[in-house]
Amino acid sequence: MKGKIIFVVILVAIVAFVSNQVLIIDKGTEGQYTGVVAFDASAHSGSDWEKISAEIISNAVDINAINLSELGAGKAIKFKGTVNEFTSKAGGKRNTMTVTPEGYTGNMTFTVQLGSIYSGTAIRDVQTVKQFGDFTNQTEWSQYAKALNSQLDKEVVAPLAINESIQGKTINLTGAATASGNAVTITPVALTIE
Amino acid sequence: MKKDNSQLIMTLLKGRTFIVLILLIIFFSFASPSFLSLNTLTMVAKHVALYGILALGMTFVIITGGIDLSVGSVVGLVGMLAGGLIQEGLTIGAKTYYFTVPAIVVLMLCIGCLIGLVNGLIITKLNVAAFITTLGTMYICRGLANLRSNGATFAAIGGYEGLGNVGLKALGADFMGIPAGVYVFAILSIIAAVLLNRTPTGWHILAVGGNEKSAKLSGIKADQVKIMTYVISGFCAAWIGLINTAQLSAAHPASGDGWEMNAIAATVLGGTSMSGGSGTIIGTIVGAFVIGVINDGMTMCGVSEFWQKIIRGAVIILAVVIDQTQRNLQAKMALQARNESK
Repeated sequence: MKGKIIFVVILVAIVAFVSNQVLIIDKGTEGQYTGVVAFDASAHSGSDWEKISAEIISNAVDINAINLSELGAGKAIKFKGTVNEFTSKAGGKRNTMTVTPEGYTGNMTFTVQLGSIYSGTAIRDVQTVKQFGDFTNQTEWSQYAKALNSQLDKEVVAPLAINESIQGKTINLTGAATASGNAVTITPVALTIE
Repeated sequence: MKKDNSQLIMTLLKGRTFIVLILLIIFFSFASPSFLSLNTLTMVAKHVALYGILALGMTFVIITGGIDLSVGSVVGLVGMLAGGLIQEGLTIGAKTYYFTVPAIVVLMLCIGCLIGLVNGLIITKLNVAAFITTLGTMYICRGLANLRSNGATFAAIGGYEGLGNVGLKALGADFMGIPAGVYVFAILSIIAAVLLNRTPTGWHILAVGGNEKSAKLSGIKADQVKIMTYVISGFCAAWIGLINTAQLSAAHPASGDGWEMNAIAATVLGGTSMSGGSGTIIGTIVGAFVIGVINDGMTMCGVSEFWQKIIRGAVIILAVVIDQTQRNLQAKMALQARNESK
């Protein structure tokens, strides 16, 4: 009996102490207390997009003027070409098209990413508006790449509502290209259909 | 003459861990010139405190004839929970609760006790072997620790002034040149020694370990005593979870992995019998220091981690062999004394 009373007293004391030593705030409002602003990659990509797309467009070189095996991690390129085949995967979330650039005679295949999900970090790696050092860590740096990709989808690709009907048409494309083996992957920055 | 001899041997055997400790310190002082410096000794004490505190709780458990394999996982779980409470708070519904560091310490100690209570209840009320029960809770706690963050680390746990939860670092900091963990170790050691040697509870623990049946017959609530030892062990493990997290300023779900073995080793080296019934706190403390000096000393001498494991294992086996020899000798001497008095 005595032991139980002591136990209850200790328990009550703990509860009283702990409930006195707690700060209760509304969920998600930590920033107001800590002064730390959560990183929002889309805010960066939103404000940077105009500069980045202008930079890539002005730096873009014609695809026939460069050695494609030296594309590496990414280069800004542009060309006029014919769409061969439109492919839609993952329930329309991974659309791509294969293209043949005008005047190209090599054996590389050209695939253009059409979203809404884009692989890789080509846009981020080609641009020079923001550097890795502008961010706190590599997580933010990779979030920035993703945010740029969704920004380009919103600004460039989605408004065109591309579907199978694009096959056979001629396009003007500017974008960031990467190469792996014989495959060149292009993430578009400007795209017009003739 | 013969009797005097065996008495001398007995004294030596009883103080063997301490003698070994002295010899080790002398050996490493020669082997590595920087070993016997204040910095090194502080570092050793800091490491010793980590498994020493675990070993304190383990001593109580082993004295009752049990074993607690879950302590290492409790270290990991408590670290993760404490780290999570500081960094993310506790979200219930639309409100998030940020506790102050003292409150977190109290809560985590309660968690440690609770896990010990569960261990004790399963062992005594459901009659599951201590080894199996604590093996199970070891896995459960490790799993929970990983679940808390999906296996990720809580890094840079500093708390925020605005949320009023700064200050965990104090548990990992130095005060007057001595790490906070060492103070905790000292205070808990004193409490443990008093509890074991100067209170009825301590005598009950020894009695239950010596002979549970006769302890029960003499009116001791053996189950309660056993449960209490596991609660003590969980309590000690929670301290280590907090201290370790504070020292690293980070919580990793795998931290404390395998530390239960160091605690058991220190306890056994300190002369606590695995079959229960006997053991001392001072022995455990010395045992913890032996393990600590061996570990740090060998590292300072550049012995490879692999050899360290082999040597550590050999030392533990040797300790138990000597322990057994002592028991045999003791029994023989008691028999001799009885024959002489006839």
